[in-house]
Amino acid sequence: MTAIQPPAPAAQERIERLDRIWAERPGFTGWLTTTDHKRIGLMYVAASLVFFALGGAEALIMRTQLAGPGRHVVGPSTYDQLLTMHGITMIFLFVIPLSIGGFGNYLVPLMIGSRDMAFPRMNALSFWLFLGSGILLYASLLLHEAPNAGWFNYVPLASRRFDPGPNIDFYTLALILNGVSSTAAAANFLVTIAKLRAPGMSLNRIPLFCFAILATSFSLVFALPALTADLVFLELDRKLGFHFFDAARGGDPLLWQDLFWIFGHPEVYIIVLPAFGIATSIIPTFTRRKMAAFPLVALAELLVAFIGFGVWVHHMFATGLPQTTLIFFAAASLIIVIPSGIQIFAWCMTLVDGTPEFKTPLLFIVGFIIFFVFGGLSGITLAAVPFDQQVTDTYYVVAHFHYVIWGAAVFPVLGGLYYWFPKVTGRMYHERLGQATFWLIFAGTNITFFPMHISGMLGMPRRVWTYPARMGWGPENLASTIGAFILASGLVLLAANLVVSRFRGAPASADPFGGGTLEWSTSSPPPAYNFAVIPVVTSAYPCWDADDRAADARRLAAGQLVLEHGHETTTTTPVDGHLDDVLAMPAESIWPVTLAAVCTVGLALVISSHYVTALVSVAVAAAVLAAWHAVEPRSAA
Amino acid sequence: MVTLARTPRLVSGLQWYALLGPPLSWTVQLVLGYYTTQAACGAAASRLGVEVHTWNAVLTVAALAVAAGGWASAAALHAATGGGDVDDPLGRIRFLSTAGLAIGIIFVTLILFTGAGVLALPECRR
Amino acid sequence: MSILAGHRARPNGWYGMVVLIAAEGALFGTFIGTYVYLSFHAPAWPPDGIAAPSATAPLVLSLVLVASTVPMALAVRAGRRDGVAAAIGWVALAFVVQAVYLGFQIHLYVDDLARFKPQTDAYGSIYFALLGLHHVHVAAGLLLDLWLFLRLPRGFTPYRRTALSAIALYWYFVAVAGLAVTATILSATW
Repeated sequence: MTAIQPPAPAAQERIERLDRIWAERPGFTGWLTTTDHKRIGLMYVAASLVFFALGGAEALIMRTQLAGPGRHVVGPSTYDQLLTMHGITMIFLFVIPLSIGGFGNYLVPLMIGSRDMAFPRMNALSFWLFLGSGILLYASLLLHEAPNAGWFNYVPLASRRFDPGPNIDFYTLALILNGVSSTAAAANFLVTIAKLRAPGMSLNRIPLFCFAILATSFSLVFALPALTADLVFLELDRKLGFHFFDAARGGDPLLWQDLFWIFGHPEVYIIVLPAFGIATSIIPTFTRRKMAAFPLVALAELLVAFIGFGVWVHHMFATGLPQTTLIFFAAASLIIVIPSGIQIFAWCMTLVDGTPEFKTPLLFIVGFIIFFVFGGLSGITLAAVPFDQQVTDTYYVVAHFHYVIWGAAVFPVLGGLYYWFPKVTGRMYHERLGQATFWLIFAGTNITFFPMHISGMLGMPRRVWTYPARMGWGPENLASTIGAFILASGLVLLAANLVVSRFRGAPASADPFGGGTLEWSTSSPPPAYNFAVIPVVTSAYPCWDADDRAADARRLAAGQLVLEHGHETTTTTPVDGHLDDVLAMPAESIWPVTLAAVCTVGLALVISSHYVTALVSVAVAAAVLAAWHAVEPRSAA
Repeated sequence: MVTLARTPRLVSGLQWYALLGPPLSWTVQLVLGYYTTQAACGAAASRLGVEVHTWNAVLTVAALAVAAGGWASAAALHAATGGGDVDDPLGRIRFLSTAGLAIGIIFVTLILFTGAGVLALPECRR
Repeated sequence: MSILAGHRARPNGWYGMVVLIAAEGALFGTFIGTYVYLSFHAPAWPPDGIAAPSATAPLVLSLVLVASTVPMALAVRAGRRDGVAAAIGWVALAFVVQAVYLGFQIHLYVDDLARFKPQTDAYGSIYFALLGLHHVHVAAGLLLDLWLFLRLPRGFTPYRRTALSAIALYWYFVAVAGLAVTATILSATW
């Protein structure tokens, strides 16, 4: 553990200057105009947890409806909206914003030794656009006109002919807005990780969590355009009578599926990769050992993202495509197991070879490994075309993806909430309660999702609002419902632990767990400028290099790389991390939230068919962009 | 191997080829191969006259050559860094060449898997 | 502490534009991929009753757009030596060519709409969508040029120099995308 030394008097004066330069305006307005990546990260966490609760409520209502045969807790049209909103909420409004917007935003600049992200105002814009997309979607639910054709929204069901109301228009336009938010975030991470690293942080010294965010960002940039194209084509078909998906006039409904899954499969890796990054951060800390096969783990994260672009037709194995088409994607779906397996072996080796301390964060990671193996195994079975054609569109698939999305993507996130809680709040969570909630959530997850493999193989289709008693699916469904409520109670306890600890927890030091990455070298919570002096690193675990951190303290006293005369951070060369420049960073701005509001209102106008006013909002948006760029970050002389 | 130390451009070229060559060659095999099956088995088949097996035999061989070359580059760099023939003060080249070795093996396997599959199946059976 | 590498890396804004180009390039890729996909599933392409596009006008216009990247490049070069007047002059020249280009393209677009509609067949749908996508990108580029006219007269700062090189990069991308779109549209004549 490297405790932070109290600063020498010369250093104290520099720190006070930094405090003044990086201070933001207080109160509610401060949150609206903030460009501090930590505050933006916290807003993402708060908003995505609210959406998590909404998505969870939708799940519990559905599980109540399905607890026994022939029930009528909700009717079919409401059920369709619930299941669609559950999928959209959990993917687009909960797990991705929390992992990337929440964890990514808060941690990446800290882990690479920077004072902020490369584009602080665009960072804020990403958050407000995401919030706008969530508001649009939930407005549709309040109007009882929520999207209702499943989260992947197949045509012809989603076409104007079969779904004439505004439900699907909410879907397309809210997701376009959400996509712009995510693309902007991805661009920010790519440039930040390329340029803003601490001096000495060459490619081989980048923390594994940042490699995960790098892989996720590459995926977002190349996957989202496929969804955008699909959504644009659908709106053109629906609003203006185009024929992209209309077989009678030269179109093809399979085109929707192709474009959707070219996006959709990378999307599920986008969901899970940050979780891999969290796991690879937690394991070394609690085993006091560097990650085994570090270069291969870093590579595996990027490979999973890359190969993930070549498997999309495995969602279409039962659509009647030629076998020679399917085989490309079956091959890739099997090979993608290799980089996943490399990571699993590396995690297990590190655990076995180190001295593990099973505190709450590590417990969630162990749970994650178990779920990832189970979910991966059911995934391998689905990669085999003949088997897939038997169980496609049944609860077997629902079981598979909940094991990987819930078990493998969310467990590390829950562990991460505990792990970084002391850093963010300056207080410790309650350890014993944390361990108890882990077991409750672990048990609840298995009881909810394991029986779905069975009901799926017994033939229960997905997305049905009820089922007849004679099918014999009752016992498995009842078990799943009971499991869901156990799971929910675990989550409520988790929330209670964190909320109460926020106010009553024991004070936490800068580095309560002995972590190796740079976020543990600064105070808990970090100051607005993250580091009083820009660190210089010589390894991938800089916080375990006491000599380097002592050298940082000497440079702070001497005033080197403190940058206390402006709102500044350093940039380095992309590959080898040589110090390159000192950069003035933009400070608070009202324009990001304004632009997001204009965009959201503009799309609401399109949904309600006020096209002329919507066009006016485009002009307003352009004016806001011009005002935004009129404020240039000023370097100190 | 000693000559590698004197040519940073060659080192850089080998490094990026090892990292990007195999994945990009698989991508070309996949995208073009996918389109050949659409062309040969869709409504425009007679107009387009595309033969799935011929095209994919060529694609597989070409992709394999590029990917195998990538693996060889990674192996050369890995050996050079191990023997101290390349200037690598930060360990970055060793790191990337290790990654390149794994990339080469994985993509050669994938390209072979894919090619064997397409060539073994009848052209347009659904 | 000395700045060891000393401005060897490209500015952040330039990298940001590279990412935007990657995303928009992927978007053009999906539209072009859709065009090819739909053509592979059509017995006749263009369908009977719709004439194939003529090659001359689209080709000439694409080359004109490519030519307009030269004054943009010269503007960037002027920016490196702080030549404000020269930079604005070159951007103005590029702007005029780009605007005339867009004017002609809109004229051709309206002409095409008189002959067949996107609502006629999937061929029309993808034809007008693909061309429309490119024209929207050109229009956005014109707005970026206008921003340069607003800010550059006040002199160069590092921020504005980066903006100029990023916007020039955007135009190189739009020109290349234009060639790809033209090749795709004209593939119906092969």
